[in-house]
Formats: sequence, structure tokens, C-alpha cells
Amino acid sequence: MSHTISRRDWLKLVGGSAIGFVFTPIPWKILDESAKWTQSSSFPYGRHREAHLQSDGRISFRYTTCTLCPMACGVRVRCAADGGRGSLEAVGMTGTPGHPIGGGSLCAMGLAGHFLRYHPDRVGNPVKRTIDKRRFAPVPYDEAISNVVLAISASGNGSVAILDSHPDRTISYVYRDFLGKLKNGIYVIPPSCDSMPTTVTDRSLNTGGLEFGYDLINSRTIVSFGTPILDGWGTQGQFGSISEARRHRGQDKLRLIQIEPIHSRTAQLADEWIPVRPGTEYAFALAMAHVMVHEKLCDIDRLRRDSKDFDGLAGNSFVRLIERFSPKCVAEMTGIPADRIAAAAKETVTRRPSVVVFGGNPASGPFRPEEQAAFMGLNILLGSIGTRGGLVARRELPGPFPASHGSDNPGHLAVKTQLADVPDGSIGVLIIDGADSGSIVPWQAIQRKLSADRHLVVSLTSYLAGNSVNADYILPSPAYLEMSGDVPTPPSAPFASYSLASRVFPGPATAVSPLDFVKRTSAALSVRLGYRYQSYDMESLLRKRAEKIFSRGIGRVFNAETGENEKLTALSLSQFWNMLSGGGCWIDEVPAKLPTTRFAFLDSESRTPVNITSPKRADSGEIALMPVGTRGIGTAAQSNPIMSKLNRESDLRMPAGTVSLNPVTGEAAGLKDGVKARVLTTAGSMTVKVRFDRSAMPGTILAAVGDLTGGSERTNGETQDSILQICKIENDSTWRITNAAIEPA
Amino acid sequence: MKATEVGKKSTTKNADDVRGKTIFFFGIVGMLLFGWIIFPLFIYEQVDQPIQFSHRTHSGDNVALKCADCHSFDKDGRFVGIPAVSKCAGCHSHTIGASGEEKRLVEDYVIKNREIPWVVYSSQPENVYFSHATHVKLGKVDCISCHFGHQYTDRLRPAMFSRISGYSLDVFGSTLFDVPSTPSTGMRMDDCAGCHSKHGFKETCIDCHK
Repeated sequence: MSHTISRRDWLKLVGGSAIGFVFTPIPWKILDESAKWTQSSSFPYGRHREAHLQSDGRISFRYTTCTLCPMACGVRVRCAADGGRGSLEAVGMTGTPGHPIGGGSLCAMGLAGHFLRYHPDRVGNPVKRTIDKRRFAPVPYDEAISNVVLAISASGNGSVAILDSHPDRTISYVYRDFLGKLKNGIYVIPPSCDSMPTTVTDRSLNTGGLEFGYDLINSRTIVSFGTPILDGWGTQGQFGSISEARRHRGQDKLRLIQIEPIHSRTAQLADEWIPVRPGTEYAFALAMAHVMVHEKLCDIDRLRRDSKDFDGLAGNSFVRLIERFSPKCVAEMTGIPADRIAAAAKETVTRRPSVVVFGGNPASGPFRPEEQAAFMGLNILLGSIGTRGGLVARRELPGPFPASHGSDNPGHLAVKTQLADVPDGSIGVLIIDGADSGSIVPWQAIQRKLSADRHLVVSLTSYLAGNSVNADYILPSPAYLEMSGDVPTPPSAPFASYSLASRVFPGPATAVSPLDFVKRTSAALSVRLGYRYQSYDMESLLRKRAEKIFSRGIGRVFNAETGENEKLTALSLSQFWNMLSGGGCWIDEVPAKLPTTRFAFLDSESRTPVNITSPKRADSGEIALMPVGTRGIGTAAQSNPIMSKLNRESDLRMPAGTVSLNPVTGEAAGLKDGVKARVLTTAGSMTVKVRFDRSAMPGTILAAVGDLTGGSERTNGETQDSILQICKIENDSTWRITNAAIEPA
Repeated sequence: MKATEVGKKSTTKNADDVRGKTIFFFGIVGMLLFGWIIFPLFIYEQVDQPIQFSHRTHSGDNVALKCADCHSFDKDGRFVGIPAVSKCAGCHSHTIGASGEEKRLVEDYVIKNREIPWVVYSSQPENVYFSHATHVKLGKVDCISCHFGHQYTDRLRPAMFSRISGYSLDVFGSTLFDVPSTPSTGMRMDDCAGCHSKHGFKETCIDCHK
């Protein structure tokens, strides 16, 4: 036997080692540890180890304001230094403790908002829709601007519109100034379940453009018509305060009466749920008014004095209208016994201050104007207008531009126009701002406003989601936390407020802010903008606005760093600015004084009774298709990992593409739980998955609206099927209920 | 071919077979020894604590400190964790024993009013939040339920950090494979979920992932 080691020996040694290698932790551990390393914030710089030493300065906090919806919650961003790049990386988000609006809480959307920068649907470069309309292709930014400018120049009789889902921001004023300088510019606000349009308040209350909010915390009774008060509506702080007020306060404990056909989360948590038939909420409201008037539960003399059309008119009056809505008559329409209607009316009156809330659902949108008039009439009867615990008018929040500056007069700003008031087929160029109202707007509601023969749609957004998928051009703007901006008063808030959303991280070089878009477009159009912001950046404009608020000398300022509030008058301008830019919040504490005016229960122009459509009847053979969703999931725009986890994987929310049916309704249509079915309306059909739910009202289809699975693959412009595509859009741009049929797929 | 030559060749072949198998076996055993004994020494970086501390001395009969005497909660209910030097200085403003470590504590940290740069054994990833207050105050979990035996230690063991991921061995369990021998050997999500499940608590993602 040779004592030298041969090549064969080496091979055997290597072979044995290779087999042994598999049974050691080496390959598996290296694989495992490498995977963990790639998930650490230090990847690929490998400095994470330092975090385990108690070194100072690695973790820091930045305070700002959430801009994912208009609710203006304070945000504390937990940042870790990214050693290799010398920059910060967000590793956690919480509410700013003590914040006067957010109350220190964040919703699921805000809690993981920092992930949105890396959303797979994020648009990296400007893209335009290809000729076959099925895909998006990259386009140079200059070319995109040139084509937008050409389209505006050639718009002719068509108008140039900017659709702004978050009005009253500083950029909103810039939009309005730009549009005001165009001969055919219109500034459009989409419907939202949070806001109370001034068109409604002006018609009923005649308050000259004052904006109203709900003083829910000081109410004793909230009567909510289909508004998800306990499920994402309003601010997080308000939700906490309402919960507190419902548990404590003794005799003054807040009571919530929820009136809607859906056994929603708010309905489940409410003190009383009144399940009216779909589309009969207004009738229930008028029946409550009938009880209040006929049993003289309200101040009849005051109503005669303060309103134009309460009674006594030769023609139509509110009293004559509600004669048709006796509890007995309405009981048949709504499916609610007359005595229960009367009891709700009496309780609402006796437990004042009471307020009637009628926001609507983020997926199904607001109520029709006629229905809103009926709800507003209840508020007038209750004496809730301008009173503590009722509907409160806010003092105006100043804009960034001078009140009078020669040609810079804000009178040149384009007026706010509700989407419903835009004539159909009138828009030649539509620019969609990327801000989110929290409520969804079906594309069909927008599409019908576009010129049929020629139009161009431009989206200034960070994500290929929501209505941006229907745009011809998508010009990427900086994402959440990457752009400075401001957040004015939340739509439903009782008092004016103002916060800054300071930039925390730099955005990508390819992202262009909406301000720069307006500057470049107006320069190319040779439009001389009114104010001098052509030479201003966003921070300068925000400073101008902060100065104007400061000059009023009213309200208090919340300091995010200390959690304390200070009177504005006790601060210098620089202190005020530093507090705002450091995640603070200015908040007014006094409501606006209401002008001496006379209320109108009915339409003030035609003097005809409120034109209300016939109610849907469960026993009429028609099935009512009702979209449902919550803020964030309803927008289909910005789903983050937590929402994905909570709503889809954990099944806490009904996923998109699913409908909920009462077993009776489902079996009558030949369906079984879990099967595929086809929902048919006059607008089309859609295949959905059926889920039987005994809490669903017979004769209704509850269809979930939300984001769908998928990500970057959608950048090829694949259609996102949504139940909203087959909902009927009414002439007033509402889509709450659609007559539908359902059959096995 | 003669029979003796055939026999010699057969013997040589047998010897070569044995030798080959031995080398092959040696390769297996050698790699196993390397993988299970030497590799762990290589992949984990050992970091010693700046000074030593005897929990046994402090929690024993002579001193009889309770856990919360040093590892306390502040007025907001937040777990303070490792005590500051000021806490040590309450007793050790000057040396009161013969220990060299105590002398270092006093001379290097207490007198100079410097904080001790303790090495943390179980820093979680940045997206994970663990609340001592929730477990101890709300859940009424005894300290020794998780830190059993800690009060009997005379020395602080070195912390072990992966040279690849940077994470502590205490976070991902004390076994080399990714399957800990018992659910409580680490602070992985499975460990948390296992204990919660065992005690009948349901958790949601945002309980730990803030």
C-alpha cells in the first residue's frame, strides 16, 4: 500500500467532505443569515452590528403630518441612520402623542405609510399610454409637458380642468391661480364622504360659502345616516374621543344611532342600529321630522321665524312635504315599524345637543343632494346649526396669496366646482392631482365629463393606481414624506386647523412636484401667473401662508416635540414656523359667527318639493347593488403591507371581487356560498365570488371595493376590474345604489 | 500470472479499499467537526461586556435586590431596561468590596460620570417592537419566566453576533439550525407566537410590528 496521497485519495476526501458538508449547519446557516442580512436596514453596507451597541444617534424621530388623506394626523417617524449612505431610513410610524387632531393615533394606512415609497406600483419615470391604449411606455418629461401644453392650446371649446381631491392646500391655490388665468380653466372637487359641500350648506343654510363641520364630541346624540363614524371616518383622534364620550360622561354619555341597510362595523358598535331598506334613508329622516313637527317636539315659532319655507306658503312647504312621510307610511317603505321611527325621533330631540351626520361610505360616495337636503332639514329642526354639539361653521383659513395685490387678487382664482356641476363632455384636458380624499371616485363619473371626441388626461401621482391607470400621461410626483406641503382643516372638523407636512426624505430625481409642473406648463403657455410664485418654491409659499395665519393672532399651536400647546400670540413668527415645520399644528378654537339668515328646507330656486327618487324595495324583485369599503381600501390607490395583511390575508375586510349576500337572496338566485357568480347591471357585468352572510339584508348585494392583488405587473396597464365599473352613475355624480341581478357564473 | 502475484494484488486492492473508505469517512467526520465546532466560532463574533457583573451577589441573601430594583419602569410605565450608572452609584459611589470589576466600575464610570456601554443581547430588528411593560405589568409575567437562572449568574456571558446578518444569537435562538429546540430559546416571531398560543393569547401583526 502506497503512503503517498494520490489524486483519487483527494477526491475521496473531498467527496466525504461534501457529504458531511450537507449535514453541517454551514450552508443552511449562511443562507439563513444572508437572507436576514438582506432584510436589515444596513444592507448592503453591513453595519447593522453597530446598532447592538448602545451608541447614541442611530435612531432619531422626525415629526410631520400625514398626507395620505385629508385628516391631518400628526406623525412621528422613527428613523434609523443608514450608515453607508449617510441618510435616514424610516423604520416605524406612530401618531404624534397629544396631537390635537390625530390624538396620537394612526390608522392602518398611516402606520405603514413609510413602506409606500417602495410600493411596487410606484411610477419611476414619466410614462404615456401607447397607441393601442393597453400599455404605458416611458416618455421624456419635456416631451410630456410639450404634449400637455399642445393639448391645452388646442382645447378649443373644451375646458382645462384640474381635479383636486384635497382642496385648500397651498398647491390647490396654485392650481386655482393657474386655471383662473386660462380662459377655459375650471377647478374641480370630486365628491367625498367626509366633506359637506358648500353647495349643500349654502342651499339649506344660506351661509355664503361658510364651511361646516360636525362637533361630534360635544353632542349627546349622533344620528348617522350610513356614515362609518366608528370605522375610519373622520380623524383618529375624533374616534378616540367619541369612544371615550360613549363610555363615560354619566348622564351626558354620547349615544350613536346608526341608520343604514348594511350591518357595518359602525352599525355593530352603535348604541342602536336601524336597518332601513336601501335608498330609504331620506324617507326615515322625513318621518322623524314628521314626528318632531306633529308632536311639537321642536320650537315651531323659531322655525317659522328662521326659515323661508317651513309652513304657511300657499304652495309647497316643508310641513306639506313631511305630511307625505308619516311614520306609518314610511314604515312600509323602510321596513322599520312606525313606533321605532317615532322613538328615534323623540330620543334625538330629548337628548340634545343632537347632530345628524350624512357623510356616506368611502366606496359608495355621498348621498344625493335631495337626500342631503332632507338630512339637513333634520338638523335645522333640531336647532343644531351653529350650536355646540351640532353643525359648526369654521372660520376661514387664509390662503397663501395676498388678499389684494393688484392683478394678484385672489378674485382671479378659479372657483371651486363640484364634479357633479361640470357639464358632461365638456373637459378637453383633465389634470388629476395625486392627493387622496380617502373616498373613491369611479372613473365613469369622471369619464362622462370628458369631451367625447378629443381629450387628454394627465395624472400627477406617485402610483399607478386608482384613476391614474386611466390617464394618458402619468408624471411621477414625489411620494408621501418626500415632498413638503401643507394640510388644511380636515373636511369634517368643527374648527379650522393648519399643519405642515415637511419633507422627511429626498424623492427620486425623476419625480417632479406639482408646483414645478404648473410652473413649467404656464411658462410654456406664456401664462402670466398672478402671484410671484413663478420664482418661489413650495417652502416659500408655505411660509407666506403661515405668515398670514400668524398675522391673525388667534388660536393655539401644538408643539410636537414637547407635546404642549401654546397661544399663538405668545409666539414669534419664527417660533410659529419652527413649530409647524416640526410637525406641530395650528388650531382655531372658536367657530365662525353665522350670518343672520333664513334657512331653506326645500330647493330655494324652484320652490318645489325635494325631488327624491322612488325608493328601492327589497320585495320589488330588484336587487340593490351597494359598494362598500373603508377609507384607504376604498381608494384603491395606496395599500400598504399592513392593510394588505389585515384586509386580505387575515380576512378582516371583505376582499375586492367579492360580494356578500343573504343566503335567502343567494339561494333564490341559484347560488351557493363560495361560488362564482355574475352580477349584471345596465352598465355591464362582472364575475365575483359569493359570500353568504346572514347579516346582509335580503335583496341587497354588498360588493367590496378595494385594491386588488398584484403590483408591478400592472404597470403594463392591465385593467383593474372593480364593481364600480358596473355601478350606475347618476346625473348628480352619485352611485350609491344600482339595480342589479345576480346569476351563477 | 502466478498465484502469489494475484494474491498480492488482491491484498493491495483490499488495503486500498480500506484506505479509500477511511479517507472518505475522515472527510465526512472532518467536515462535521468543522461545521459543528469550528464554523460557529467563525460565524459568530463574540463581544464581551465592558465590565463584569454578578447577579448572584446582588440578588443573593446579603444584598437581596429584586429585579425591579434595578430594571425598573419609569413613571410612564416604560421599561427602563439596563440601569444607568447613577443607579449603581447609589451603593457604589466608592468601592465597598475587593472585586476588581467593582473597582473598574467606580473608577472608570461612577467617578467619571460615564455611562457603561453595555452590549445588548437581544436588539430586535427595527421593525419589531417588544414591550416589557405589556408582558410584566399587563400580562403579569414573572421576570424569571423568560430570564430563568439569570439571578444565579456570576458573570455576564459574551454577546454573540452573526458576522453576516449582524443579529444576535439571542434573537434567533441558541441553536445553529433554524429550528430551536424549544420555543423559548430565541425571540423570533415563532417564539412569540408559540408562547402566546400556549397561554391562549391571540395577537395581530401590529402588536409587534409597529
